[in-house]
Amino acid sequence: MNIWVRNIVLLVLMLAASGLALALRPTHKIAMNGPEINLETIIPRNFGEWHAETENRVAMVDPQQQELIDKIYTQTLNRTYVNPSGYRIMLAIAYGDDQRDAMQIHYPEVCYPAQGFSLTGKEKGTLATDKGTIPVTRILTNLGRRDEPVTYWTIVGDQVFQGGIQKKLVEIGYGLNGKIPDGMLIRISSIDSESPHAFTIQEQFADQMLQALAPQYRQKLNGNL
Amino acid sequence: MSVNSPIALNRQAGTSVERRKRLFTWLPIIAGLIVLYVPSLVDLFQGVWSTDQQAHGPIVLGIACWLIYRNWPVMIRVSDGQAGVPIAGWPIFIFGLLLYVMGRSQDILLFEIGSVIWLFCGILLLIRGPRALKAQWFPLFFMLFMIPLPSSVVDLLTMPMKMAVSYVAENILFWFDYPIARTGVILQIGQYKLLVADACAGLHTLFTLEALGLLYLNIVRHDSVLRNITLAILIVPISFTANVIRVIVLTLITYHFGDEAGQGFLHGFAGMVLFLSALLLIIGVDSLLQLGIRLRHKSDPLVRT
Repeated sequence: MNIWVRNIVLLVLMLAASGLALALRPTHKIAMNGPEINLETIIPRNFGEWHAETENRVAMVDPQQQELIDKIYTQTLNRTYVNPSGYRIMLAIAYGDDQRDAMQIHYPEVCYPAQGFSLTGKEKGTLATDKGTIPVTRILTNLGRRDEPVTYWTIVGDQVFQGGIQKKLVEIGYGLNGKIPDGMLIRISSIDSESPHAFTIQEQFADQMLQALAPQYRQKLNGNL
Repeated sequence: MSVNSPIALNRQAGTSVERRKRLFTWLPIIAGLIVLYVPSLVDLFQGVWSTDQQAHGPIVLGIACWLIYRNWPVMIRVSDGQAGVPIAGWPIFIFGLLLYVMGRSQDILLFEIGSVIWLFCGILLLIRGPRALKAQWFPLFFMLFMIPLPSSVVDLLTMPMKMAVSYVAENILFWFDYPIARTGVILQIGQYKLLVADACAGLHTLFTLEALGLLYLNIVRHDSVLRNITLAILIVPISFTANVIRVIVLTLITYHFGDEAGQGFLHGFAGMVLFLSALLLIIGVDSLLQLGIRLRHKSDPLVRT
C-alpha cells in the first residue's frame, strides 16, 4: 500500500473513532425525568417510632472529607433519629445526579478508616423490608471506646448494586442507551457495642423509613422494589 | 575508515530532504492523535490529574514523551528499510480505537487512556515494523503508569498500605522510647494526634516512585537482566520504607517543635524527604546489587578451579 494512502486511512479511522465516541456519549441525565429529589423534604422527620433530633448530639462521621462533598454529591443529608427508649440512629444519605465521573461514591469502608476508625468486620447481607429485600453491606467500625456498626446500600439509576464492577456495568448499560444515571448512598449506623442488636434495630429503622416515603421516592431509595 | 567517511557524508546530505519527506508522511497520524487525545488530556487535567491521588499522571506523560523523543533517532536507524507488518499492525490499531471509543464515550478512563499504548504499538508496527516497536518498548511500557486506575481499586489498596505504614512507624518510634500509641491510622505522640492521610501512604507515591525507579534503571542502562528485575521489584519495599521515613520525620518534628512546625513541614518538605530518601535508597540498593554481582563474578573462577 502506498505510504500516503495508508496514513490517510489511519487518519480517517482516528477521526471516525473520535466522532463515534462523541456520538455515543450519553447526555441525558435520568435525574431530569423522575421526581425532583430534595432529601431534606422527602425523608420525613417523624416516622414509625422514630423522630429526628433537632440538633446532632452525636459527632457523625463525615461521608466525605468536606471539600469533596460539593464535587461528588449534589446533596447530602445527615440526621440523628431517636426512638422512645432513647436509642439513637444516625442516617446519612448522599445523592448525586451524575455518578459516572472518575469521581464517585466513597464507601463507608473508606471514609470511616480515613477518619481514624478501624474496620473490624464486613459482610454482605440483605435487608428485609415491607416491599422486598435490599442487598446491603454491613460493617463494624471502632474508634477507641466507640463501636459503630454500619448498614449501607448503594443505588445507581434504579438498581441497587454491590461493588465497583457491578456499578460500572449498570452505568454502561445506561450509558449505551444515552442516559446518565444518578446515584445514592444510604448509610444507617448507631453507637452500640452489641452489633447483632444494632443491626436488627437498623433494619427495623430502614423498613419504617421506607414505608413512610411517598411511593415514587421509595422506589428511588429501594431500587425499584 | 577513510573509505567509509564519504559514504557517511553522502548519507547525511541525503537525509535532510528525505527527513522532511518522512516528516510529512507522519502529519496525518499526528493530526489524528491530536484529535483523539487533546480532549482527553483536557478532561484529565481538569479531573483526576488535578487530585492528590493521581497527580503523578502528568509527570509520567512528560517523561514518556521525552523518552520517545530520545529513542526516536535510534528507532529510525534500526528500522531503516524495514517493512511494516500489516497483519499485526491493523488489528492492534483497530482494537486500540475500539477501546478508545468505549472508554471515551462511557467515561472508563482505564480504556480511554490505555488505548494510547495500543494505538502507538499498532502505528509503529504498521509504519516501521517490529524493530521500531522494540526500540520504543520502554516508553510505551512506562505509559502504563499514567493510566488512571478506577478509584475503587485505589481505595482498596490504599487503606492496607496506610495501616501498614502507621504500624511500622509506631513500632520503630516505640522502640526508641517515644511515648507513642496508635489506633487505626491515628498516631498519638505526647499531646499530639496525627492522622496518617491518604497522601502519606497513598498508592500514587508507590506509582510515582516505581516510575522514578524504572526511569533510573533505563537511564543507567545495566546489562545485567537479573539486576534490573531485582531492582524493579525492590522498588515496592523501597517506596514503603520511604513513606515510613516521611511519617516518622513528620511525627518527630511535631513532637519536638510543635504542631505548627509539623504542619509547615508537611506542606513544604515532606514530599521532598520522600523522594530524596527513595532516590537514595534506590541508588544504595543498586550499588549493593552491583557489589554483589561483582563479588560473585570474582568468586566464580575460584569455584571452577
